[in-house]
Amino acid sequence: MSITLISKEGAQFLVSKPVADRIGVVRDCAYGADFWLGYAVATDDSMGITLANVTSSILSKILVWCEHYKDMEPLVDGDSNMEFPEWDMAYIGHDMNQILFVLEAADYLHIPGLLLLACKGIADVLDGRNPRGICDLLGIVMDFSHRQEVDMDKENGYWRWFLHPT
Amino acid sequence: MQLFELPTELLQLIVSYLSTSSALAIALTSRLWFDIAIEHLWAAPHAATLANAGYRADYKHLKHREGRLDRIWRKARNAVGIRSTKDKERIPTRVFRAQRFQFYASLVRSLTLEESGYVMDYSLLLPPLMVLGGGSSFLPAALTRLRVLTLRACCAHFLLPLSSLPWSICPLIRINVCLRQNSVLSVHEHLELSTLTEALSPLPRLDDLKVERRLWSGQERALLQLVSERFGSTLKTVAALGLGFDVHTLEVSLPALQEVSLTLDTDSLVPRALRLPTLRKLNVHICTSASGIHALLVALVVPSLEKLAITVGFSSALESAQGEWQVTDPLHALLSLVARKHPQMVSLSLSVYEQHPSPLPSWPFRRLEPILALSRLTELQIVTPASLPLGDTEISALCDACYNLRILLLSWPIVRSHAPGWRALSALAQLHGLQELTIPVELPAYIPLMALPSDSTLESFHMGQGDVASPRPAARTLRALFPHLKKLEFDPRPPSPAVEDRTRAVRLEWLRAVAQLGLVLE
Repeated sequence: MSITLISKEGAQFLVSKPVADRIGVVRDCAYGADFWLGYAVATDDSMGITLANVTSSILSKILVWCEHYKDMEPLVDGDSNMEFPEWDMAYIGHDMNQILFVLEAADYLHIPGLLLLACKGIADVLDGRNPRGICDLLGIVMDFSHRQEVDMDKENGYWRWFLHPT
Repeated sequence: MQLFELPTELLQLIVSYLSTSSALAIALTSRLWFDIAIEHLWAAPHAATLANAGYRADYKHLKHREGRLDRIWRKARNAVGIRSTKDKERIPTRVFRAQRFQFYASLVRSLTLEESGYVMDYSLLLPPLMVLGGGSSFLPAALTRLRVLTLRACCAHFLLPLSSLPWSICPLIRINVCLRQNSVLSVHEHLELSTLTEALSPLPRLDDLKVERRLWSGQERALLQLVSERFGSTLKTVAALGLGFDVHTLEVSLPALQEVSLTLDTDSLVPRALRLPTLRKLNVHICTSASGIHALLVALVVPSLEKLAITVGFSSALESAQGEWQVTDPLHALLSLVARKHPQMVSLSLSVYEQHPSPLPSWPFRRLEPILALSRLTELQIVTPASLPLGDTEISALCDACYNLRILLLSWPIVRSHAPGWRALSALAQLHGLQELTIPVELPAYIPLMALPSDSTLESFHMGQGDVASPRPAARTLRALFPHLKKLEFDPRPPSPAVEDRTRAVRLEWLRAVAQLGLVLE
């Protein structure tokens, strides 16, 4: 059994059932009727399922992840201390723009494992940077003055208080 | 697309993956990020930190430079009804501090209150609480989002004032209580249990109870009775450490109990049958005799015990009195019983903590053979000062029997004449799920043909007191066997004084450098 997915630009992607099962929206569209009607409405459906919010490049990237996890369970636990497999981290990379699009698409398509991976990817890009560096990276205009920044750093940097109590 | 265009829930998820310092850095970039990151920063602070947030001397902020922390100050000013400069002068500084404390306390989701130096750190929180008008009883009201509360003390008297607070107004999903008595207070141990019973009774729920004593004095029945009646539906973990605990007391109804930790040295305190239908994990500490744990395992009626951890104080507890293991070997009998009664076990740990037993015992492999019947094991740990003559053949047999292993930790004083080598590592490389490996190996210069490339996912390998003859070819073979290896460690202590310490360390450092970094030196 296979399903055709249609991207925002109209490009068609033919995927197998195990791969499509990783995408929550597709799973619901294609097989959700199983429960109510006793058959799948989209079995070998030639019309396909249109994913209007996902571009071809992002959909093809997402399908690589789905293909990798078609036979095994991805991490879906929300524990922030859990380490992702090496393949996952290499897959998500360090390109902030692309990770953002993957994150948005994973949220829209309801793929919890990929959603967490994209969040972890963004956090890894941000980690270790100072406020100025983050502003430069994200194109944010700082709301706080230098004095405010210093004060809030003092107020909330509590792990340093045990070393240098004020 | 910009990051801040994402929904707030996703931004919170991203911040939860950041380290504390990075979360603070992103909080300082803009007001949007400040509101998101500050919740993460103050989710689980130390009690002293929370007290400090309310009581940090900050006259400059209050008197002359009020514009700095606008957002928090505005909340504080509104809360106390300041509208003009005159109002501001009328309001004392301590009120501002208390309001700041309240602001940060409302973000806390997990809090640990513990005794330090005969004083509960909870007392640090009292000054701002007094200002807020409710005294100590205002603490649960200030912690509006508290989900997990942990109370730790060495003396039950310290728990009394805390447990009587109205915690039921907090949205708690877990309360952990730990009472670890120190030796100074041991003369009053008989008073402690009744005080603990008194301290526990006002709590709205109890999920984890850990009591560590020198000697139990028979009052545990009242404690377990109370726990069963008041917290039976929520209590998941019970740890009763110390000699003389009467196991009969666990016969009370505890329908949610999943993990039990006990100290057992005699079978006289164990009932004939003990029904714990929901138990998943059992931790037993034995000192001088294995009769207690044997009797307990016989008595236990548990449908699915998945994890068993045995900690042994003296290795003599696992030796037979006659010295004839074939007839009355306590260790073999114990492991046989485990394999017979709980073949579905997934985690087994046996740790002997006697550092220098005299004489040094030696365990033949047949003592451990019952482990081979536990085919579903995913974690196996054996730490012993006894020498285990485990060679290539024995390790291969273990790999064949327990093919689901994810974590294998074997630690013993290595015997160079009969130590695992390349064949053992080749067998271990065939375990696809293996992620952590600790085993002392002797890697000779000759590398057999069977060390072929594999798809092992092993990431961490500890060689213990092992050794390697030729680091470079050995590193290449290790990389072939374990292509995902990230961490290679070894014990710097030589296995015997006969081994040259320095040259061994150099060889192993070479091996680590080449195997860990993935360098191939031709």
